[in-house]
Amino acid sequence: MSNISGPDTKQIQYDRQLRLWGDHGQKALEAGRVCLIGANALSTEILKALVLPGLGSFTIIDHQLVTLEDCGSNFFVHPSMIDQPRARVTCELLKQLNPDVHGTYVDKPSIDDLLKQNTFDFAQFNVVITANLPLNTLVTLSTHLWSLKIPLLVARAYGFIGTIRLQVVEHYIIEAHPDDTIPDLRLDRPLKSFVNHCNSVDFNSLTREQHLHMPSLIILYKTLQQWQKQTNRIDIPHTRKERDEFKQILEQLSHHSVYDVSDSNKSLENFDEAKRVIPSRLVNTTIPSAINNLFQDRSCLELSNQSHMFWFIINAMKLFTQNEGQGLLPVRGEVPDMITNTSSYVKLVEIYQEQAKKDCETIHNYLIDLLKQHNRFSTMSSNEAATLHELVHTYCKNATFLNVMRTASIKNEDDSLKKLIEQIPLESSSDESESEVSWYIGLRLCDAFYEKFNRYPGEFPLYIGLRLCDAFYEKFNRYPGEFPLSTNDETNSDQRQLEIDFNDLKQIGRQLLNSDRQQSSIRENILQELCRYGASELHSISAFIGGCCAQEAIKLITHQYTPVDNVLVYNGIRQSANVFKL
Amino acid sequence: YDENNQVVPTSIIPLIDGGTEGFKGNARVIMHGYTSCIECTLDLFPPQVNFPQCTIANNPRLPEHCVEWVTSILWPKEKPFGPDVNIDGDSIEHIQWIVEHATKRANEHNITGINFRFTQGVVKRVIPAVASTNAVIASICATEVFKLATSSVLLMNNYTMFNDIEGIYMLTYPPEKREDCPICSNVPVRVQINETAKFQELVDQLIEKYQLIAPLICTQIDGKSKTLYMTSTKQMLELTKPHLRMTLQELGLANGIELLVGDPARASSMRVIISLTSSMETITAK
Repeated sequence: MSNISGPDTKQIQYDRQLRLWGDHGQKALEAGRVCLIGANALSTEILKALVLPGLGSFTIIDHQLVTLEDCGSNFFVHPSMIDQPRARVTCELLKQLNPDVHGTYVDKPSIDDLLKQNTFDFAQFNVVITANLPLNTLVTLSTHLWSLKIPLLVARAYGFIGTIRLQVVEHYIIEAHPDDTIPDLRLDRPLKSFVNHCNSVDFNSLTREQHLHMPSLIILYKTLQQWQKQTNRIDIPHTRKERDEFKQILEQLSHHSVYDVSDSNKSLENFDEAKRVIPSRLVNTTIPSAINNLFQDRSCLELSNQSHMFWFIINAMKLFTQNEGQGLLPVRGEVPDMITNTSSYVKLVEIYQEQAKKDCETIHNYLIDLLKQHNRFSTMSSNEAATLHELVHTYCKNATFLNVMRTASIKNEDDSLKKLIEQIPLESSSDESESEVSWYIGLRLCDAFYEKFNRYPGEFPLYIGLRLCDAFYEKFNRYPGEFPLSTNDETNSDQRQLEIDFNDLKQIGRQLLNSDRQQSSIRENILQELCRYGASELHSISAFIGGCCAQEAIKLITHQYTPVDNVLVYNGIRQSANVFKL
Repeated sequence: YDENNQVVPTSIIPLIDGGTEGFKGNARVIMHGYTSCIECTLDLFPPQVNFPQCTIANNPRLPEHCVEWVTSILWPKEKPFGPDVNIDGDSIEHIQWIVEHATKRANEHNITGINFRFTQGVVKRVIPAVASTNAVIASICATEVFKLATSSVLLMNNYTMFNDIEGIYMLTYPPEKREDCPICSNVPVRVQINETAKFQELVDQLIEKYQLIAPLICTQIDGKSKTLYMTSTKQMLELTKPHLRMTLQELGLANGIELLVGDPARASSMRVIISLTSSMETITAK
């Protein structure tokens, strides 16, 4: 990346997003290939938010022709294009959004035939996305993609409701960029160089100037040392009483012989800062449980020639923690700003960065050894080998937040759904407000699954409702409530048809979920509302799901930020979004 | 508001507002009088990040400090592109000049991390953005407008926050309305002023506190309406200018009197109740 010289056109064009995922993220995106199945309003919204940021290439698969209905719901499509293949029309219009993006379409055969013939190479894609794809086709496709280990995003917009479902065998989160992080300063397990530096500071022989500019980190460590001596401990204060003792010592250190005469009103900014940051500095440095899980993960323990680089690096990191790291992850190397003079701050930064560099070097060496052991090193291209060091550096900087994400396959979804429903109690009166029942469901789920659901769970029943709509489609070849518009005289028959659909839907519900306790969970008013929608596609709801889905795809392609795990239900009525795991 | 202090429903113009920053965004539906408005929650906005002067001038530690030093201290001193030329964040030459000098300062202090993109980000106070978040927030706003136009479904209640950094997270809740909100409530504002003060002082106080441009102030004294201050026509300006030199007493403004203040900066008039304090009170209050 250029230093003083101005940015090139691409850097200017993508400037705002480069600040979010960096040049390397942008590079990954520009090498990304996405397959979109379905050319409707939802799919164009998804692709729009992928094409604009510079996705490498996309392929749309849809055998249907543009209809008048499409023009009503998709602003990419114009009545002049009726009877042309939907895939071609949307492909052309999307390419106009960004000439750097390469786009192709497949308008015959249909996706069903494509899957039957099994000649289409889905393995060329990083991500496959479906937009309002009927369930049968979806199950066939998802099973195929599961065996190919290609991530699948299932997007759906249905009236005011939208859903996204992620199916992925194994996804690696390398740069999570969490919103709030505690700095990695390790006052409880201080770096040797840091201790040496602090020991060279004698609080009693400081000049006024030095005292005023003492960095809060050193102040805190000195206080800690004294507290440990006083209480004969080697750890950090935990109880209220201990923390008060700590603060007392801190207060003492803030007094200096030079001050008290003329500066009685002076507020010592650095000492105030020290007091203020105690909660985030006096913390136990440990390996997060998620990382320990990675270390114990089967893919980590059964490292082989075929393993993904992720597991090699995890292994290298594990070796590090067991040896040089002494039970801790590599030092992150970042020091937050603090009130002090330049040289003091720079010195601290140097100490932590030096250690981070050393740790990274050690892990890099472990990695090379592992690769050689498993015969991977010799088969690597020179390019790959050269970038290994940078890759390890990225992993080390983000070590605390590395993770792997796995979801169940869509094929087994009905079983998972049934299991979840079984947790719903029998006595839930129909009068109860939705939030009550949902809260109850949420609590039951928490008990049964040891997961941290903790979300407003009102939307869960909606997902079941949508599955019933799918079953309705299988039976009647249309969605409930979806029938041709009638004239005014026939509105009565529309009402009746709606009621018939509703009753059929309820029937299906009873058939599909045959235990008594499961019935009550399917709220009748939800089914009624879904009937009202008649599988209509509202463009603004499609836009919401489209934006979310596109960003999920970008997360999967760049391995930055954490994807949704693994079902999102969006309720456009209450403007709420809920995530749960199936 | 009508005479019974009830909101007149037909007078409400719904306001739908949305904003994004990187992967975060928010949207709200405001029905003034019913829901909380922007003013009600104004103090929830975080203060702007500004670096203290002594850090910029004497103790730079971060690359941002070096850039700020160049823009706030060096540029005004050297005026590299001309005596009246201010920094243009979009000008490549300007930014390059800043990068050069910020790097020099950074090198003097062993600070690293300055490059073109970083510098421009600091100078222009760039907010990162992505197409997806914008699409999401825009869609929420559009959905709400659609609901208003079709009356098909309940509106959102009334403030939503969105974040897709980790998974996808959305929270919708109604922030509380401020009972005495100067914008959406009809509760009069109370202003304290010394009983011996001149009218000019009161006018200045109102202008500063509520960011008024050219206030029109009138009141009722003994059942008759009186225009205290008006600047919209030359005639009225001449007529009311002498009022400024008069004391509140001379103008007939007693303790507790209610003024009506209109201004181009505000859509509707403000009710202001005067509270007169004696000299002793005002000094101790300070």
